[in-house]
Amino acid sequence: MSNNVSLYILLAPMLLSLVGLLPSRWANRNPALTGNLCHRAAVAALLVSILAAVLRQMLPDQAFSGRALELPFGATVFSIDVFYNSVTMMLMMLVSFVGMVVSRYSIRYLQGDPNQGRFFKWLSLTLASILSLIASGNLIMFMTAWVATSLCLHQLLMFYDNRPTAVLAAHKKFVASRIGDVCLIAAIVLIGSSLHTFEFSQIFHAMAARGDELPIALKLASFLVVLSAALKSAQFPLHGWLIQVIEAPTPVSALLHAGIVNAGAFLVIRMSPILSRSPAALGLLAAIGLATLALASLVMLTQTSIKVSLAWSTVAQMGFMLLECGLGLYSLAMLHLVAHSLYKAHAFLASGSGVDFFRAPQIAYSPSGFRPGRLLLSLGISAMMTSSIGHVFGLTPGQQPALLATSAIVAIAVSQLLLQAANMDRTPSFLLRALGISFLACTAYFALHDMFARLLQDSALPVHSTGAFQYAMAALVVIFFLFLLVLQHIFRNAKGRAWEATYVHLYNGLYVDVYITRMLQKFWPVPQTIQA
Amino acid sequence: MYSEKISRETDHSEFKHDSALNIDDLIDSACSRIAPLWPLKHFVAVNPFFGLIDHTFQDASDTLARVIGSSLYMPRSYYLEQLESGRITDQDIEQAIRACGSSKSQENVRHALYLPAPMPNMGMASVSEVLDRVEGGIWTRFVMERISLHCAAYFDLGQALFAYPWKGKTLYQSWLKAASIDNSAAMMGLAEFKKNVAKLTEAPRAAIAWAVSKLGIPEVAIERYLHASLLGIGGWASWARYLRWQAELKGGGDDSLIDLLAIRLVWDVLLFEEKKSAALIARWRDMLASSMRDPSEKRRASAELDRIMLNAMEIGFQRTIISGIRSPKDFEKEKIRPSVQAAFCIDVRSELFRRALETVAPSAKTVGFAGFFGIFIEYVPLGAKSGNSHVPVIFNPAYKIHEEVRGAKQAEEERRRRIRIALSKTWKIFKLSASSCFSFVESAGFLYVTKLLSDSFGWTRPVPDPLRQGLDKSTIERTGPSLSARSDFPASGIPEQDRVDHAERILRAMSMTGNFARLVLLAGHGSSTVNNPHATGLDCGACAGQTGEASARVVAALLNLPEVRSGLKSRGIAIPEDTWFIAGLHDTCTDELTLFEAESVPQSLSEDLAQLRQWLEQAGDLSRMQRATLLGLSGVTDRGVESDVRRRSRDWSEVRPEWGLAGNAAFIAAPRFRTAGLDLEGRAFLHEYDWREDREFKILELIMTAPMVVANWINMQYYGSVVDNQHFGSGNKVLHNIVGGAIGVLEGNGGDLRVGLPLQSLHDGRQWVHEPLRLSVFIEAPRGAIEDIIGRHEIVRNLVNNGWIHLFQVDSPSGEISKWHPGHRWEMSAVEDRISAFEAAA
Repeated sequence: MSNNVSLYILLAPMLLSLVGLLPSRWANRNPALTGNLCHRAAVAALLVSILAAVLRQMLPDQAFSGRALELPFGATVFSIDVFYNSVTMMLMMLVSFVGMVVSRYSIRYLQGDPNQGRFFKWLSLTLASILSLIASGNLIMFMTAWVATSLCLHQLLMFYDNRPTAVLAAHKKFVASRIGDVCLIAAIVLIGSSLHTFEFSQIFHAMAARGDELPIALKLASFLVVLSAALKSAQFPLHGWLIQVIEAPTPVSALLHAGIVNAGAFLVIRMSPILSRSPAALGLLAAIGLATLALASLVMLTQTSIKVSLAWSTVAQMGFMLLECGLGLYSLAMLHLVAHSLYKAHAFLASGSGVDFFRAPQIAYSPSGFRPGRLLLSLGISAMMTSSIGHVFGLTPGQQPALLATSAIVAIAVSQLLLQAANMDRTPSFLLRALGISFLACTAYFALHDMFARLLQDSALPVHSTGAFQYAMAALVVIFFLFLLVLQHIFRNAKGRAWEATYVHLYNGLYVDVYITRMLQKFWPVPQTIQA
Repeated sequence: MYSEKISRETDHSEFKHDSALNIDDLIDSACSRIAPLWPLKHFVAVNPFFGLIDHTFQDASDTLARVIGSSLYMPRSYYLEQLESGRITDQDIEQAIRACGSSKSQENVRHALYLPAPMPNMGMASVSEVLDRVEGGIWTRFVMERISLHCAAYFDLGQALFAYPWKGKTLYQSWLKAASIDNSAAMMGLAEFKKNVAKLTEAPRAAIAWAVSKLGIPEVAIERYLHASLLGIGGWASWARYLRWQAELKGGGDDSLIDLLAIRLVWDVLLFEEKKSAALIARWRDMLASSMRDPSEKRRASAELDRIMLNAMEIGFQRTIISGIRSPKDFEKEKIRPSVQAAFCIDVRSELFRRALETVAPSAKTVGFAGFFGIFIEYVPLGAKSGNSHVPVIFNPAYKIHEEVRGAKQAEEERRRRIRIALSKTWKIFKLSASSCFSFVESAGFLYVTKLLSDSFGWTRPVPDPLRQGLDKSTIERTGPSLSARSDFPASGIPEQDRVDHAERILRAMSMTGNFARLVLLAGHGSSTVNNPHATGLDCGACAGQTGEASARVVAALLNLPEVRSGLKSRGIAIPEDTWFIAGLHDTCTDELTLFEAESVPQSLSEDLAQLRQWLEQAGDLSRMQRATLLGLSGVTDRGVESDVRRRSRDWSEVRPEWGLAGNAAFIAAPRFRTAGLDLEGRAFLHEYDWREDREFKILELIMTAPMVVANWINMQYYGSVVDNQHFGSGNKVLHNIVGGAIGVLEGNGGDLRVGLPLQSLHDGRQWVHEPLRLSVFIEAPRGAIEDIIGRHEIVRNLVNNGWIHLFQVDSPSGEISKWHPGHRWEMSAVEDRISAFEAAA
């Protein structure tokens, strides 16, 4: 039974890779057919994932995580098997859903492009690789799918290989990915040699049973995993490629931002049995995440083109997601991963609609500038709202500092909403509506968090100890968000040299990417004359 | 003419004094070469060669070749394809050779076509381009990126949420400030850049003069160099030119364009100073020297060949039209009262629909007129703080018209809409701002599951319809423009004392002064598409990139007023008691025509109305079937085509919702009977004009200076976007990235702002759907009247004498046609040629 069910899940990537096996030339001659095949394979993958989720309700987890298919050669080294838990279930559905939407979109969007067939071929292969990555039951298969995803995506990023900027961005991504690969391979070797297994299920059990301090090899491995995740999720300072790969067609951006860039958090959650025992590695992850989100969320506000703003927004969101991972809040990170994917896929696909906001009636409103009293009032209201709704869902003051910090972030967000509303219209009927929306958003947040916490109960090993570091980190996060809130309101009317300098440095993303581009151009030059 | 100006200045004894005077002229002259770019929120067509029409077509092409290495002709391979497919015939070539005054033989031409064309010039290269050739670096892109980023920040209409720190300063001043802080150049290895910026003059014109002398540009080449520098950042230059255009319309001025030129040149100098090497200097001098050489004999011969091939294609197109216009006409029909009259915009898409309507309703009469129907309004949407102009972009609106809800309290309706929009804006800020975007994702991100699905299936729009946002469905049906002033805005509406004047002027301009039908339809047009940055480019150009709904409704309402009717009667226009004007909107994407306020049509006309509705539906079917082949739907059933165009109008992934004005190539100002029954394939702008009704040829003057010029703008926008999409088009739609909120698009993650049309609006993936042909204008009016207008208007003179359009005169009542040649010469023979060839072929 278990073998059959596991095999059945692998149907999803297998169908897609069948489409990917079509030769490019044939595909280009039959773009409509290839597109339809790709779309149908993605729909089938979604159905498979949904059915698997339904089956799981009827069968215990263990039934899914057995070895499904051994290769005749070197069975102990490489096997194809499935590790199925809530994380697998949700991500399979997410990626096949996004794949379905993106493939459907590309049928019309790229119509007439001489390479449309080839596009669908690589789209199918990319989707197949991600689905295999998600389903992987062991580290070797995971690693293979990890690299395959990156290489297939590379083909999509190079879709317009006559554009120097596209090639440059793809090169940048390629370099970052290969560094990440090296880190991951080293981590896997260390884990395999320490725990004598590559199977996720066995790693999970082995670590759950261990009580002692981690051996140095696993400690090292956990740092390597953190680095690899940070590289995959475009964290500072190697974030530049994510900004620039909008040189590929819009659906590629949608897929990348919704289904690939978040693999960093997926890696961390899969490796949580080891990482949860390595507070230093998690601390590093949290620090990278916080630094990235701090920078990127500010840069995002200065950007002037819609896709570049969206890309910076993703960098920031990935930072936040990894921060949550680093704080041991795996269920929140998972919630963030899924919700962000859906939001960002839509944002990219709908990015052509930006002009409509400027065509809509521009209404008169009287912004009242920064009022400290109003800020405090809105913070007070939102804190009360958040804590009472949180209380209904079981949040108590004595809980993990990290959890309290994230609740504080929600409160700050709600007060931003209220402040914005008060800035637009100060009639009671309007403010009441804004309060109503805040209440709904707040409730949705805690309800979803509660749901994800239940779902992920058995999918990730929690962090045991809460040290001083966690308290410090949580405090830092809250302070930073308060700072953001105030900043947004005072910089509307800010003057002076310091503000000018801040603006210029932020607008240019702190120049990191200019330097990296220059270095890359030195070692891996892109011919400038290929543009037709 | 410019060489003259410069040669006066080459006397070195007075160099300093003169060059100071001179450089300002040269700067202004270079700036005037740039065509404006309208923002995406109301995108209208512009002739990208607008600043070159004082050159002949060939001279403009040569100038572009020397400035940016571009050309006004298609590549050889394109003309060869046309020849091989039979689109260009031997006779076409034969006649084109004669028309061009060439001594080549037809065999010569055919043979030469297979030889490789000379390589394009480098043009006047910037320092960065020359440096790239020396170093193999990425300087050009880097400099472009720096300037483009600065312009985007400075001009931003609302994409960035952080306030720009130098609001109120000029573009150049703000650049000086930003560049003295920006470390990007240092990161690229230009260690001295910031220090050098601090030493620059604050006056942009002085900076330009300084740069020109630093770079050692010879005087004869200065204007070309300035022109090249502007085209090097041509998109933003066009935007700056637009700002100047708008300011001048309001009686002011705007010097952002000069600022931009200064920034571009200063970059050149600072780069040159810091990267100076023997190789760079040598290459730089080399570039300057070669850019000053006159085109070689080989190039000139090649240009002649291009000219012949373009003319050959145009002659082939003109032949069918000429023969159609000359064929015998049925004048008798004019005297019978039509069952219905329907006025449409001159837009080429109307031609197709009008023909379809006339086919299903032979007793109907259609009329072509600029889609704003001659009423100069600014239209303020319900609840908005400001309105949009609905008049051609060369005019200012005269009246402010408010959108109102019939039978409701306006203040209440406005308040309701404002609250809804404010709420959605608040939510948007919650989604986007730094401190709340993370919580937004976790609390509301899941909503996008349904949104992704419903948008994919076209059930919903990715964002609310800008024209209907915040309105209930039942309210939308009751909204419309109101002619009367609002109590809270006394300056709104059209004052009663002006109404009869406008009604008379409009009817006369439409040549609609008698024989009115019982029902007269005024149909504006718009296109319903979603997720399309260039959507407004498909709307009505005569209404400044808005739909024609408001204008049509205002004019219909005006002409239905009893006091206007009686006023018109006293001025000799008697509209029968039983005549009613009804407004409509032609959706050019779906070919559906919506009628407005049909419930106010008098009961006595209910049968006429029902009949009209039926005809419009049938006409829609017929025009969709005609468009089917171009939409790639040949062989599909009526219903299939209908459902596919509906899908196109709602599909967020559709990059070719309709073909817009692709194919446009002719402009005909004549009574409809001249062209009735001719299949003009949706390629002609049709303007109703009867010169016998035109006292003093005032209307002809208007037609030749406004609609004809606008048609030339549209025609050249398509032309430029096809022949050189890199410079005058906006590239690949799937890479478009909206910049500055609603300014324009970038292609990919950066580079220059793009102008013109996307490739997807011109090319179906296999071939060009738009044939790049210059506009052929046919006017039925006495020669003397036409000549008089040519003589009095420089812009018309430039267009017809410099070969930017072909002008033909249609004689009345014979329908004989002659072609205008520069130097006051009308020529029948060229036309005769065309006809005999046509008859021989048939």
